[in-house]
Amino acid sequence: MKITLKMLGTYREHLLPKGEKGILEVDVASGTTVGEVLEQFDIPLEHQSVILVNGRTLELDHVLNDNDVIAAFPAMAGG
Amino acid sequence: MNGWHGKILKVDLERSTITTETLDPKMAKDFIGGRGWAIKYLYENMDPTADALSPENMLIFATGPLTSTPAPTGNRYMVVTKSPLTGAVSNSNSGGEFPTWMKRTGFDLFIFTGKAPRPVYLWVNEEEIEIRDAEHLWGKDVHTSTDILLEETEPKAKVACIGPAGENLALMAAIMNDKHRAAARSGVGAVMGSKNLKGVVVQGKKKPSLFDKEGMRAFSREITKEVASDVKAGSSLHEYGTAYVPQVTNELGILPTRNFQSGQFEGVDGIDGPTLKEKYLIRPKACYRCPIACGRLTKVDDAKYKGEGEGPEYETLSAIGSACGIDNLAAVTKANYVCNEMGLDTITAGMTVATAMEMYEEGLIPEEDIGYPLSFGDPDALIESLKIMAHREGFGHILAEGSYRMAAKYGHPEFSISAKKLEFPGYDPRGAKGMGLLYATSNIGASHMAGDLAYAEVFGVPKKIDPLTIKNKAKLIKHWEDAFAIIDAAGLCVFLSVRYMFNPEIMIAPDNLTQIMNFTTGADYSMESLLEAGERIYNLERMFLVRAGFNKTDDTLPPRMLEEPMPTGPAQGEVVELEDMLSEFYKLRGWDENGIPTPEKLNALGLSEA
Ligand code: SF4
Repeated sequence: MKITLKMLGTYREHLLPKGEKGILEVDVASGTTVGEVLEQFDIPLEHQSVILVNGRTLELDHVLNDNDVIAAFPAMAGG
Repeated sequence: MNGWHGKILKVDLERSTITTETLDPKMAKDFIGGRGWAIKYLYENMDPTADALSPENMLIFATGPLTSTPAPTGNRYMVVTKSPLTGAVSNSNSGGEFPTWMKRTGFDLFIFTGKAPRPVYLWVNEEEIEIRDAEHLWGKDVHTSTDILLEETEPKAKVACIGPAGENLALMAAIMNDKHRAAARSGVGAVMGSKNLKGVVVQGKKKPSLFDKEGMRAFSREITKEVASDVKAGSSLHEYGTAYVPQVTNELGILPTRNFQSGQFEGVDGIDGPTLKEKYLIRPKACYRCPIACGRLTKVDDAKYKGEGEGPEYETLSAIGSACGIDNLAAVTKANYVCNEMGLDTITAGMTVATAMEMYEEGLIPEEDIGYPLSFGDPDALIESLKIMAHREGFGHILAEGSYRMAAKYGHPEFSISAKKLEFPGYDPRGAKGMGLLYATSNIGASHMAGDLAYAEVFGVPKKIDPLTIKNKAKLIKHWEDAFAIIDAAGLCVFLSVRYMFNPEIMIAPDNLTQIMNFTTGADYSMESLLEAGERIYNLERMFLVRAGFNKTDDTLPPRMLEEPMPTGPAQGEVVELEDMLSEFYKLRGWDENGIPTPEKLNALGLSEA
């Protein structure tokens, strides 16, 4: 199944060179969790990252569905 | 005294006299400084029901004990006065360089009273304090005025001044310092204009003495090192400024779009940080002694929107960009420059235009009143609107009153997305519930700076919490409002403070901040006494509001937030369940059911005379 990774802020670089604008579609096996996908791309999983699935805050062991969008960015005060 | 100079400069503009006053050390400690001292003075020396634009209002520039010390980001000051936009208290924060130099004149606070018979500016350095004629500057923009003021005084001095917006009493006028930084919110620039005070120029070398110089240096160095290594490892704030945020809030479905009709903007890629960096960034810029450097020095070459200056920051991208349906970054950046030159708060200015756009499209404000079509997404109509707002020309007279008065004039105040008449910043609270409670209860109206729980709800600092639940939010907001009062009173920047000065495990306890305060002042604060001081400041501000006539009915949000579910995105179907949070909040604060601090609470905080 297909999911989309959207890396924001300085995490854009984690998807280079393929995901030029911080966005990358990837194929994953069914049953894959959020944490497993992010690990492949070296995204820090601990408290220094904010990780969203379809805009919602979910646990890392959340099992992905087709067409899910995972967004991640470094935790940092802003705005 | 250490950290504090313990000296206040009082300028009576009516009589053109200058006096100084020394501070009682107990009061200094109990109210910390900056925002704390200022509200104490305001509360004791002016009638809260006075007209904000009358000579009776006081205008206070207030630095904190950490301003101009080695504390990282110890570069802030607060402008405290009664707001002409909200009728409540104003406390607008700004950094840059002016506040540090202001403190080095040897005074912690400047207090202005009365109204000068003719336009004047104040020039303060270590040898002289002088009220000078400013007739020749009246009508000039912020950049030109700043250049002339520096020429007339001393090239290395620092300037805070108003532009045409402040002179014309536009209710969203800012006080600009170092040309591009703003004490922006709730019309402090209009108060300055009403006093015929065009500018304040400062120069000095009197750094405050430190109680434990070595301890302070070492501790500050440690924190600076930690920040610097985080920046090196890749900090979005340094890399993109706050301009990286539209993508984040859009992802959460809370990016203000077309006057908060929805929370996701299809043009978000046009107004985000990477685009800004690629197309217009010259280099990042830091306030004095800041290792983060979130400021953006930018330049637009595009013929139509040509200009150079600072910004835009997230709040501007949201209020002037997505809230107005505009995805043209060159135009948004230009509009930001216009606001800086005119001396306008980009949030209220942008949001007032956004409200006008929605009401125009709904047929509630006729085109003949405006003089041109004012649809969402039209950058040229936006820029024109900002200019006439600052000059109060034609329809600009109505725009200059802010979104609430404008919408009410046309019979539909509900189109104004404001609380206590102050326009919302860039987080739709239907998808960040804590922010909803904050906007409704904040003493200055809908400001994120009053206790920015978006750090936790949106940005994961100090840790990510669920933005959609109301559970625990009353407790957090109470605590964050008190904590932010400490940061403002101490003279630090919130960006750095929340992450590096507070203990994340206790969400949030000012552990490092307590140490830094003690190294600086020697006043022997504990975390608890510091938090209590924050609560004291917050409650005294609340009492100012109570005396000005505010009560529970003012602690509310526009109907759109309470009744219109978010139409799309991750927060789809959500409204702000304000009532539930509010009653819990009042209880936690020790206020009665009408939102008024009880005598017991005031006693406990040492405010029995309030
Ligand atoms: S983080 Fe940004 S706003 Fe705060 S002091 Fe540093 S440069 Fe200024």
